[in-house]
Amino acid sequence: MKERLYSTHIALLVFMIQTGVAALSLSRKAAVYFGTNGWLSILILGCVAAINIVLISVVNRLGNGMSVFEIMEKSIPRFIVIPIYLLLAAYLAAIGCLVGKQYIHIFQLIAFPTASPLMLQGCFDVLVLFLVIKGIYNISKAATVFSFLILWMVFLLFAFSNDFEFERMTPFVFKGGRDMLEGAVDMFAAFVGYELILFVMPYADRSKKWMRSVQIGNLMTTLTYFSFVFISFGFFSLGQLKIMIYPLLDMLAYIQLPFVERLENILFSFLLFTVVVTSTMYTWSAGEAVHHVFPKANRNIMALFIVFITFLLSILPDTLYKLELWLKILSYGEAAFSFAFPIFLILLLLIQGRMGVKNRV
Amino acid sequence: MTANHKPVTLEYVLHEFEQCVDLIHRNFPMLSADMVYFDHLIDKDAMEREVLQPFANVQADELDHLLKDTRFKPSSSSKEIIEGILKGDAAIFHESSVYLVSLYGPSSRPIEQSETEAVIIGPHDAFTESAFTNLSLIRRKLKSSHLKVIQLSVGEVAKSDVFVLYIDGIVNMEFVNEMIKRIRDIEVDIITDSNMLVQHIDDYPNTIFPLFLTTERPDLIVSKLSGGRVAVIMDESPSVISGPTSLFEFFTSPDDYYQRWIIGTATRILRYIAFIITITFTAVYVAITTYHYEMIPENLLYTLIESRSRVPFPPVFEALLMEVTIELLREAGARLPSKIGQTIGIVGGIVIGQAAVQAGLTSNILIIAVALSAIASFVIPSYVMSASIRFARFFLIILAGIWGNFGLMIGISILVIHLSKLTSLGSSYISPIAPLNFQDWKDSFIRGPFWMLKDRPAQSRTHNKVRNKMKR
Repeated sequence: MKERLYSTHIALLVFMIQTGVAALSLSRKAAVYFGTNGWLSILILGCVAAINIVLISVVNRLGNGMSVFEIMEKSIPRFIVIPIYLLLAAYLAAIGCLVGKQYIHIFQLIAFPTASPLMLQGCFDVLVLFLVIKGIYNISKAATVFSFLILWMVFLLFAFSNDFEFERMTPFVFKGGRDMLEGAVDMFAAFVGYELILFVMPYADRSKKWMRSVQIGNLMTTLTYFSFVFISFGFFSLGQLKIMIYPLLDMLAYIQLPFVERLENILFSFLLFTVVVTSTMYTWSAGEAVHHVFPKANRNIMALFIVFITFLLSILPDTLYKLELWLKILSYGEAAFSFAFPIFLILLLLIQGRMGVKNRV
Repeated sequence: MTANHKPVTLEYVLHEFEQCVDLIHRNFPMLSADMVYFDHLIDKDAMEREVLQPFANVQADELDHLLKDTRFKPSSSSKEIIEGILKGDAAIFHESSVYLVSLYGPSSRPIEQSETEAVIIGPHDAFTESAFTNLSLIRRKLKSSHLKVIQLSVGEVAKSDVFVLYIDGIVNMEFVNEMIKRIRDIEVDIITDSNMLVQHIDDYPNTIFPLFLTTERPDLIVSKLSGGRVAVIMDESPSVISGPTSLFEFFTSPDDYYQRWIIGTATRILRYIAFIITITFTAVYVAITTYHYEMIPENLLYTLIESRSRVPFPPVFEALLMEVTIELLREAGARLPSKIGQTIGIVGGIVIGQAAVQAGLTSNILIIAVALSAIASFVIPSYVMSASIRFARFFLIILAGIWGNFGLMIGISILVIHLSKLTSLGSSYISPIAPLNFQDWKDSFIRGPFWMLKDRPAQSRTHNKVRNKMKR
């Protein structure tokens, strides 16, 4: 009774990979880079991601569900492919670990100023390892459960219905911003993650529905971001948004219940679920790349090795500022990667297709 | 010549049962016949009716003719004869032939109400230790020739009878074959209860969660069978196994279906709330009082600080102390006769609860948290699941004591990851969440009205999906 990766799982998995800590500062970035009515930028970025997913689905269709590694190995000699795989693995693993580290740092900022970040990071990495070694089917099952554990948070938006004011919106669009293009790339970091679906392709069931699920996952992310950012534009003024580090956290701090307040503390804890999935999927993808370099090596030991190396790497950026700088650089690369890699694969597939026709003739 | 093919003699059988004082050997000199059996395994009336009276009415030369009756089964295998005697047959030795006559009918407990799964409304009969009584209870409720029963045996020494039940045409035969294979593969000397059998056939032995549902209620098993699941009855055990099982089945009870659907749904939701309270309430208390005092509103903070001010321990020790006390009380209450059990309740409730607060060992609010989570744990209908959840709670309390909310979330993540990995008979344990099937939510998270419950659960992978065609 072999398990399959169902299309609904893919949608929720994509949603869980995409959403993360980046959501916290998204409103600020939209305000700083795009200015008035900056929330519109979220829809634009969502569309850009959707176009990128179309490219990935072209890879899937042309390659007939072939894995990216197979596509590459068909045309490129192994001695060239191996360094590419190792670079890819290092890059993906670095993103995975830094995303986790960023979460730990912010958690420390909110609740544990004196705790050792190394210990928290170690604990987080053990959790990631625990999930990675379960394999992609179980990762997707866990992601489905995790998504239900955080999706309810969308309903918290109703808590702001009394204080949301349309007066804070203006008829001017994108005025008072700066470096829009740079900002767009910076903000796009909150959307990336769907490109990992390239590595999941061989494990998905062979129906055409699953590429649609990737789009649904991206749509879910876009709508979630959009609703939070839109509400924060009506909740805070533009000037306020520009100077807040994490406007979403400040907004959540506003919710008070008779028996509990400062809810942002516990709500931020819930974000652990999505950060774990994001970090796990990057680590798993890195593991897939390394597996194609050392096909005979034990996958679990490889995962342990990757997580250990990334743990050591995560020690380097010791402040949140440094870390966010590193992540910014990596996310520029990631945005480029998410477009360039599918295009590269499409070109390879077209060449392979032409060669195949020639050979047949 | 092997032992099985030797001509079986009375001496051989008596030698085999040497020093078994409970074996009865009767001699019929007029008929030159002998009979060997265990008195306590047979039904005395049946013995009188089937053997003694007919034997009294025949002459020596007519005995051969009588023994041709189908109730006397000729046997030439020594193994078969010895197993027959052990299973409650009487072995009749006449001239060089041996016959087995089934007279099985040991004294057994009558059908009573279940103590672990009590019901308020609905059928009150519960399974007993006799597999045939249990089969009868199921057949009485399920009068269908499609209900199939396969007999197997487990235990190299005990050789207990195990029956695999399924409804042909509804069940997915992959599950039946898998179940039979797993039972056949058991290599152990003795299994005394189906809750023990379950641990030999489940997919992951190192989990705290029960991977098969065991129940004492025939109505529950009948509903599981009609849902396309496989049931396993073990002789000498009042619990019947059903599989494949999902985690959410442990939160349902047949009572939900005997009430109006809205009430049934409310009760079911209450159980899930109880689950959340059991697993997190004390851990949240520990997390907040250790690290996150800022989360408590000012008015409540005064009460909490006043209550905690005399306690010399960190919250995690305080919570563990009380949780262990509650577990001790529960275990002691379960082992003692009910009359003394009440005393334990009074001692636990008043003496320990109140005295611990007055002595400054714990805070009042913690007592409320611990008591509430203990009560909530007993709302869960399955005792086995309730015990598993209570165990998991300790793990979360310790993590909350170390890292507050972060630890709590780490603990929940570990539980979710662990549950995602689990399977029951090879199918996902967290169905219908993963694989996601919203149709089945109508009968797992809520108890939908009957006209909505059209399909059998997706987890049973049945080819006969439609359960009812009822229109509103």
